Amino acid sequence: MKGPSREEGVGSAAAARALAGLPLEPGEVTYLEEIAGPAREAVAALYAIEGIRYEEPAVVFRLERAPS
Amino acid sequence: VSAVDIDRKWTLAAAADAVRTGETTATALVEEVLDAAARWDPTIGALIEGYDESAREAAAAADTALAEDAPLGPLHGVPVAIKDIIATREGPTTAQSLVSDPEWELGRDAPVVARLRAAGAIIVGKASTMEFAVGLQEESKPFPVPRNPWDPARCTGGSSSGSACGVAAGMFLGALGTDTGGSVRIPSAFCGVSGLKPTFGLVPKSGCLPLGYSLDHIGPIAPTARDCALMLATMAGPDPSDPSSAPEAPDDYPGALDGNLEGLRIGVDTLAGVAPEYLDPAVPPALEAAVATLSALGAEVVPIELPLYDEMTTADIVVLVSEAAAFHMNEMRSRWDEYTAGARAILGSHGLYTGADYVQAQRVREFGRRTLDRLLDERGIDLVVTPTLGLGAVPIEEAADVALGAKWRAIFVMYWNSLGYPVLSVPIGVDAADMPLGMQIAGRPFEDAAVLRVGDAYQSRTDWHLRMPTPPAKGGGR
Repeated sequence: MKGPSREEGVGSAAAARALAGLPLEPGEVTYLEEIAGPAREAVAALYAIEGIRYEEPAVVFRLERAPS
Repeated sequence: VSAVDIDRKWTLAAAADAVRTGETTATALVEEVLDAAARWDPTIGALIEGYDESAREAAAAADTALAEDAPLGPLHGVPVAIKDIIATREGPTTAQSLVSDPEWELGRDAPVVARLRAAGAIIVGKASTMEFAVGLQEESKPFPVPRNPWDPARCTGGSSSGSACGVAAGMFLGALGTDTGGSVRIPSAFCGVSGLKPTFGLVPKSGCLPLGYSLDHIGPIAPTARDCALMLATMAGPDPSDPSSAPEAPDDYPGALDGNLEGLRIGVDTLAGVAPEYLDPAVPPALEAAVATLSALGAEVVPIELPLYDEMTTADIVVLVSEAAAFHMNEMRSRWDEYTAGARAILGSHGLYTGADYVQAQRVREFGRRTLDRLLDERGIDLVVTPTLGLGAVPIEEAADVALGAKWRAIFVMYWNSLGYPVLSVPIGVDAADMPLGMQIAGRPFEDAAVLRVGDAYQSRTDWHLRMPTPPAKGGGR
């Protein structure tokens, strides 16, 4: 089983949540980072229907380097 | 394989009539489809497993029953296939996955399969799927990578891939698919056949591996709307084994197909503005011609703009991904490498959404239902038509761009999963590469009969549903 390939925290809390606990490949990390922004915008529109302003949680997980 | 048109020999309904009247036999039908499978399957990968011998035995028994004047079901002697996430007693359910449990429901029929069998249908095999009905097929896994019979260099769409491409190729006359985010309608449109997502809850889905608990539907795929009506009539109705099974009794779906659209008001949304950069230029004129046919059949056609299109599409994605992740949570952590890359991408994206997002998405689904219902009531609209997809089947190497990339916005199906309303996709033309195009016909909840009535009337005036790709030579392959 492969571990997370990045030692740095990712740029958004949403993408970080996706990484947590899953042994993702580097390409999968990149994919999730790329879709995280549009996904959050789309979800914000679900809240906006009721006038709720959505702000992404500020928490960003830091990932440990995978064991070699 | 060259995609030269030939007339389809059998629709499912015609075959059922032919068995009953003695024009053909169940044995002859089964041998015909097994011959088609021998020609086609090495190329298009529609079946994970064929049940040739048990199908032959069932056909012989069906012919004996006919000879003895035994009571016959409406699908007596008709060969069908089952998407391989639905249990059949003939063999295991693989979900086209290394992760699935080979013992799951082994030796048992899902209620919907039992109903088909009781109606006389003959199960000829399990149809290929995307892994657990999500993602993309991969050559690296020990399962078929389905190919489009109109051009095997192109994809079938999914996730009910084998169900649709096998029907298109005549390898079986009908099939079960499932639809959580368009998985009946997408491959039906790409392969040029008819596919119905029934009203949520109308068909019991116990015995089917879940993708999204509150979004999953089991539906028929077949050459025509009439075929889908015949299958739905045997599939629909309450079953206590499915907590989301609706109490409504099924309608007489075949009996509703009177060919008359007088008095119906149909709203048309071209969805041309949703993904204009990916909209194939063949789609708008094909839809326009189809709508003109509906008008000629007596329907009043009016333009409509579906409310909350983007939001309801997003709600389907959030709910699907979250519910799928709940089902797969253990295996995602322990057997991640055994999933296909496409399934990993979609399942992994569950972390982009919070529990609050899931709840809000479910609330938006209900808000969307009320908003659309109000609009339809105010304007007196009975049904809605849209293109199924904004494009025809793409080359296999570009399939990921449709399933996971930017072109997904040209897939116009998820809106209706959020609603749970009945939707039929029927073929309405071809693009410049001769790849089929589809139209969705959507109705109010439990008005599946009206949806099928429109599709059947349309097909009474057109012949897109009768086209068939030319089969490869026997023993042919990729």
